[in-house]
Amino acid sequence: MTDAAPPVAGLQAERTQLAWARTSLSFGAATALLARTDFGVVARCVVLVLAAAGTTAVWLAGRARQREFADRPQPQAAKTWIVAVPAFLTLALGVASVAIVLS
Amino acid sequence: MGRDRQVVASRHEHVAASDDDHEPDYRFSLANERTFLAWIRTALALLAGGVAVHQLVPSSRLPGGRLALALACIGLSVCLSAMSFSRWRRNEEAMRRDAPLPSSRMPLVLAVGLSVVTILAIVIVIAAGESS
Repeated sequence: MTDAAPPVAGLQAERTQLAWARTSLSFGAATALLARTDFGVVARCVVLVLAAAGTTAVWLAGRARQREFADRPQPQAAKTWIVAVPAFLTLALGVASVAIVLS
Repeated sequence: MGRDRQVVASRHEHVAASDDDHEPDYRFSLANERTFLAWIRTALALLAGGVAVHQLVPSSRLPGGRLALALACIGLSVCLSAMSFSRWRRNEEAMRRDAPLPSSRMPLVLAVGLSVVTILAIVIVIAAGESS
């Protein structure tokens, strides 16, 4: 670890980008399970739409991060709102799941 | 060490900011971000597990057991996702001030929560074995 800054920089951004990709995939998988729950057709459609929107939002946050990496010569710390997207959506999904399980 | 030099270098780039607050070494920031994302994935896995238990496990002689197991998994997921964001932010702030990283209760919460989930699962498996 002496003067290896440029390759390390590239790999750091790449690893972080892959972590975002894994997280959006996990979100998609978790919501897909939720959509299997047997409510009426209408409620199921609502859950499916919200699930797709949430997964897309997490993926887009990762994309925003990727664009930041591409635009700057050196990666910067994540902005708070980008980190808040998966945190808030996972929390909301958890609360919704509690409601679904109890109903 | 290279790491120390990097920290010093990034501090010099931001002399305009106050002495206490500076842009941390981006490698530490990105590692903090990846750790946060790993906690989120842990929470998502627990959530999926809880929902799967609710949908797939047949109700045994313990009808409340399945509900308790599902709620334990999902409740643990809610706790972890709520805590992970504030942990990320506190770590980020500590790194900006060169302060030691704050301790976190998240590993304790996960360990205790998983113990509860495991004990519930054992109870349900034993009850199902007796009823068959």
